[in-house]
Order: sequence, then C-alpha cells, then structure tokens
Amino acid sequence: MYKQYLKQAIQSLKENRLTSVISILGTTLSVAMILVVVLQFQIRQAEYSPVSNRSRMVYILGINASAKDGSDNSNTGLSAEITRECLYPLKSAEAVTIEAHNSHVISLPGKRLFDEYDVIYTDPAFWKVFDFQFMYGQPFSEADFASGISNVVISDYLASRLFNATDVVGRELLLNNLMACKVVGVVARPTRAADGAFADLWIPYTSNSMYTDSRNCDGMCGPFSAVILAPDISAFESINTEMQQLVARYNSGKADYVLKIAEPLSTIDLALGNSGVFGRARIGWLDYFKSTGLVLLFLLLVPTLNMTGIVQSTVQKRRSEMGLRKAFGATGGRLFMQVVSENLVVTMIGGVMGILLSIGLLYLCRSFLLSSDTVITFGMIFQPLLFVAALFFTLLINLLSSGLPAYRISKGQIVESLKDENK
Amino acid sequence: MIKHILKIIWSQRRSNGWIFAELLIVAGFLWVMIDAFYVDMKTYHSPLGYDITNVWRFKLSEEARTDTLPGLSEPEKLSRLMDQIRQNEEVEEVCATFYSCPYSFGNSWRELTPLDVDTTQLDTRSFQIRNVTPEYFRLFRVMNAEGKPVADEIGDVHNALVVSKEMADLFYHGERANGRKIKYSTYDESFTVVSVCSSIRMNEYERPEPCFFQCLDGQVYNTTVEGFGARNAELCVRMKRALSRDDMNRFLDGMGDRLTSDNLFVYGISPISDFRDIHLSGKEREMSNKFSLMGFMLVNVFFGIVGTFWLRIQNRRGEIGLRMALGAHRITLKKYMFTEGLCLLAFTFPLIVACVINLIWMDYPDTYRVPLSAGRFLVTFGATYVLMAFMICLGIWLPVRKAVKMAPADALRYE
Repeated sequence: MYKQYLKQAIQSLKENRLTSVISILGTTLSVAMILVVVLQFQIRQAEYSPVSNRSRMVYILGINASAKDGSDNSNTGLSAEITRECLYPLKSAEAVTIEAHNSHVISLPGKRLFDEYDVIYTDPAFWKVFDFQFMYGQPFSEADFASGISNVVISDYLASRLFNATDVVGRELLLNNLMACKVVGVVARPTRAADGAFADLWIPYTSNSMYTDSRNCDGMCGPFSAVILAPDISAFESINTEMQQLVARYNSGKADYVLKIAEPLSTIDLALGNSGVFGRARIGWLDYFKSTGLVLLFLLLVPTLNMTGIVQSTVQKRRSEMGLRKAFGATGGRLFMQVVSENLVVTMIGGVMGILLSIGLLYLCRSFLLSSDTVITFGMIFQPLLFVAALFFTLLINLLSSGLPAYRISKGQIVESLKDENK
Repeated sequence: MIKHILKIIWSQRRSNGWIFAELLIVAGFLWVMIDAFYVDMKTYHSPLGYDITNVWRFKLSEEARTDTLPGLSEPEKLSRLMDQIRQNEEVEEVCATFYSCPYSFGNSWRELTPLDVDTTQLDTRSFQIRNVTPEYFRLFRVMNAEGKPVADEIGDVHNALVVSKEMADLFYHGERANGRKIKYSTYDESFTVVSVCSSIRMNEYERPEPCFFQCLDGQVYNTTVEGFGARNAELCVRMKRALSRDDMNRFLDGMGDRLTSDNLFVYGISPISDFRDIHLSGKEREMSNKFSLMGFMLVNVFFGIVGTFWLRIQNRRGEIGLRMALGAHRITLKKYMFTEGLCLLAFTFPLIVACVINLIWMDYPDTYRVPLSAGRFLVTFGATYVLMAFMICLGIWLPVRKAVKMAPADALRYE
C-alpha cells in the first residue's frame, strides 16, 4: 500500500514541477534554519582537545559575598582563599581548577614589544581538567605552583610570534615588560570556542600577588572562576552537596561576611544561556524553549502556511479520485494517511536537503553564530542529535502542512467528491 | 479593463479571498520588517560626530619607583609624555581623555545647571560628561553645528565646556549658546560654553543624546589627572597616514625612550577600531540574526506568492484558452493577468495602512531613534509594495508564459 503511495507521490512530484520545487525548497529552508539553531547548541557541547571532558565539567562563574551588617552585597568571581577552603578539598571531584583571564603585553628580555595576548592565571590541575596537546615540554609543576615560580606554558602561535620557532622550552619572556617568565611547555593553540581554556599563555597564579591575596569582602571576592571535573555526570549532585558543606564550614569561621555559591553550571546549562552571575535566575529547559521556541515556531509556521496552500490545491484536484476510493470502502483514516504519507515524500527530500543546507549556512555564518575562530569539525556536526532533530521537524512540518487538507478531504461527502468527476 | 477585472475578482471572491488574506499577512509582516530595517540603516548611516580613522589608543602603565627621589607630578608626567609623542613627525595629534574615549565603555554623568536661563522650566537631569584635553576636538575632527572645526573656537578660554547641539537646544532653545555660563556638581566655579558641537552618538546604533565635553586645561587638568591618575588616561594618537600593526610596532620601537616619562610608560597599543569592534560585537550579532530571519521570511514569502499564483493561473487555463479563442492577443492576456494580480495587491493597501496606524497607536515601531515622517512612510511602504509587486509579477510571469504559448484548441480542452 505504502509502495503505491510512494509511486503516486513521485508521479505527482513530476507532474507539478514548480509546486514540487517550491514545497521542497520551503521545507529545506525551514529545516535548515531550525537545524542551525540545533547545531549551535550541539557545537557548544562538542568535545575536542582541550575540552574532551566537557560533559563531565561543571563551572562556578560567580559567587555572592554579603556583609553581615548589610553594608555590602557583591556578586563577583572567586578568590584564591575560597578555592583553597571550599573547592580544592572536594573529594567527590576528579580535579578542581580555577582560572583568571587577563591580557598582557608579552616581550622578550632586551626587546620591548607591544602586542597583547590573552593570559590565564591558573593552577596545575588546569592541565588535568583540560587536555591540551603538548608539542614540547610539559605543564608547570605542583612545585612551581607551591613556590610561585613563574614557569609558563605558551601556545605555538605565541612561540612563533616571539621566537620564530616552536621548540622554545627553556627560553625567557617578559610579561608587561616587568615580570620575567620561563617557558616550560608549548601547546597547540586551542580555538576560542573552547570556553575558559583559550589563551596564549598560562601561568601559575601564585606567581602574582594580585591573584593570591584578595582582601576584598573578607577575602571572598576575587578574579577567578572555577572548573570542576566530575568522575561522571551522576556526581554533579554530590559535588554540589559536598561544596555546600564546605561553604557552611567556611562561613562559620568568618566574622563579617557570608559566602554563597550557587549550584555549579554544566556545559548544557551554559548553552541554555546561563551567565553564572550569582542571583540571576537559573535558565532551565523550559525557559529556553519559551524564548527559543518562539523563533522555532516562526521558522516552522511560515513555510508550513505556504505548503498548506499547495497541498490543499493538489488535493482538491484529486477529489474525484478520493471520492471514488471512498465509494469503494476506503475509510477516512486511510485517505488521511494517504495524503499525509504522499506528502511525506516531499518533506523527506526537503529534510535531507535541509541537513546539508544547515551545515552550509552554519559554515557561512559562523562569524556571528559561533565564536569567531571556531573550527568546525566532522565530529561536531555529525552527531545523533542533528539527525533526530531533522527527522522530528520534518515529520512535524509534514503533519502541519498536509494535516488540514488531508483532514478536510477525508471528511468530505462522497457525493460531493464524486460530483466533481462529472464536471 | 480595470472594471472588468474588478468584476471578475469579485465573482471569484471565494478563491481570491485566500490569496488576499495571504497577501495581507505577508504585506503586514514585510512592512514591519522593512520599517525595522529602515530605522537601523538610517541610524547606522547618520553622522557619529567624530572620526576615528588612523587613531590609536596608547595604553599606559607605571613602573614601581625604586628610588626615593621625588619624581614628576601626575599631570606633569602625562603632559610630558604627550609632548614627546606629538613631536614625532608621523604623529598628527595627541590627546588624553578619562573614561571618555570613543567606543570605550566610559560612562560618567553629571547634573548641570545653566546659570543665565530660567531654570524653573528645566527638569534636573544628568548628562554624559566627557573629560578631554582640548586637542581632542582636532584629533577626532569634531565639528560645530555650522560644520566648522570646534578646535578653532576653543582658544584660550579658561574653564571651557563644549556642549552638543541637543544640549544647547535643551538649555537655550535655539538662542546663541557661546559665552553662556554653566555650573555642575563637581566644581564650585562656573564654566563657559565655548562651542556647540554637532550631535555626538555613543555608537552607530544609538541616537544622539545631549552631552558635554569638559576641556581639561590648567587647574581642571591638574585636578582631574591627580584624581584619576596619569596611568588611567586614555591616550589617543592620530597618525598622519594609515599604518598597519607591524608599521606601528616599528614606529613604537623607533620611539624608544620617548615612550617613557618618569615612571609612566606606554606598554601597548590598539587601534580605536578594535574597541569599536568590541563595543559593537553584541549588537552586530543581534543584527546578523535579525537579517537572517528577515532573509528567511522574504524567501518564504517569495515561495508562497509564486506558488499560489502559479496554481491560480494553472487552474484558469481554461479561461485563458477561451479568451484566446475569442481573439485576445497574447500580450493583452499577459497584461490582463498581471493587472489582476496587482489589483489584488492594491486592495491590501488600505488595510495595511489601518494596521500600521494601529501599530503606531500601540507604539510598536521604533520612533525613538528615527521619528515618524512622511519620508519614512514613503520609503517603507514603497519598498514593501515594490517587493511584493515584483514577487507577484514573477509568480504570474512563469506560468502565464507557458499558458499563452498553448494553441487555443489545446487550451479550450481544459474548459
């Protein structure tokens, strides 16, 4: 039976070339636009070096420190002190790192340069949380960190800018023309899309007193954000519980201020649009669909309206055929299914083309859809989510566009339909 | 002919009703989109009030003092550094600003009181202040309302202010502002308006707001630099020609010690255009998203209109055949079909106007950045209907071309 529908559908496709082309293109475009939204979401979850463990990471981007006498209430980053007291001791986490971003002019001893580069002040656990590819050398060590020695890791890009070479382990450079550093490792430069990990130079934060001693709000406010690597996704809950206990213990020893840390955000939470600022309402799936859903609905409905018109008129032309089938005993449900599944051929073609077009569009518009230098890889795009979404939206478009005409024809009176035959 | 067409449209009102409804919705949507686009483009392309070509921002830092000797004071350090840079023949002009450089996120506001006007009619409100050294106006090519450089009007006036056109209008209602006195919260002394500059906008997407420039000169310069610290000055340098990043690095290398004044030194540079990119990135992203949606909508509208008219003409092949058999010329037939489509479109006009009036009533269109005017309506309605007409004509032309090529006998068979 469905084979028959398929034959019929293909025949009618050939018959009305222009309307077929329009229906197919309409579906293609609609599916493509929706998939671009899906792809954007998907790429933010994609795992690649240095964020191969993204799904197991949770982030603390901000904290709240309020004075007990009510004179101050700050939403800021973390200080090294809080990290030491409340995050490093976490037993349920596999690794905990904190990082602070800055940009510095990087020069060579004896040669003053003026270009600025992104710098991350961090700790040795950073290299456990993020899996960088070391081209030469190794990360700075626990010992470097403990004694505040400014041994740094730089990107191959910075290495070739400064030294015209990449094998530069052991060479020296100057941060802001003041601070002498020694290169201990060279890594492949990450993409900017690897949020939190992108920089050209990584340095132990203990080497700069600005980052170690924060006396603001009783030692709680600082420049850091934290990334915690969980052993697996199910551990997120226990990490939060343990952290809240540590925070409570920390607060009990504080006289003037109270520290609050909200539940850490996962990569998915970030993709939903959470900024991580303390006190900002948490955006869940429901809120996400409320805002993005409207756009999706618009992307769905406009082409669907077009197609309904086309399906309606093609179905109208076949009223006599439908009447005849009905007269010979076909049920309304059957006729409905016939129209819907014949139309499915059109939408399916559109769906497949939509997948291709969405990838093209994403590539063309990557400058504003994604971070500027995101390298789109095969693995980022071809994931089950894309195909599931494509199939779902194709079926939805199909049902929306052919449902109404199919319903009307299946409910039509036999006599009415047959009357057309004699006309 | 028109009368005949109207009659036919009326007699086929059932099928035409659908198309009419579609045209109505599409035209309405299109108008809203085009109007939003018009406002954005108009705002984007109106003058900013300053020019940032070839301007670089020099970033300053301070070395910790190692000796105990008294060094230069903060204002002296900054002035000396500016002089040293200005002396280079590649440099056209140097100025210093405090949280007031174009495309910086600097945003300070002060409450102002004009001294020699009736202030009872003025609401107390704050205005954006820009702390700039007098060279700012030459460097950024700021013009007065008559299009002459503001820099020429400053001269040696003590405690000078430059107010924007909007602020002068607000305070003096078109009377001459130059020479008037103004007081504001920071200082006890009063200040003299030396020039009225053209509208100044924060960036390409904002409309001009009333604002004023505090010329940093003499004692005001000293207090301000002391207060903010010389290292926090935004040092803007206009080069005589366009230089690449590498050229600039060579230039800085050549400057050597002249980039240092006491313990104050230049540690890095960025073109102001970089700050512009950062400042506008969020808005540009939003605009790109808006444009993609608009493009998507237009393509769909095109498909919709072409599809509907195609089906319509196809279903009326019999009628076309009959007309041909009765001696209608192909060209007349085509003309007839096009006129019919356009007539349908024309009928949407009064309803769309009613819709638009309703939207304006609800304050939906952006009237803050671009006020409503006959020109705006002309452009937006014009563009909407030209686009719609073009799509309808294309939607009619494709099938009609085929239909009129048929022999009358074939065509009649469809009857």
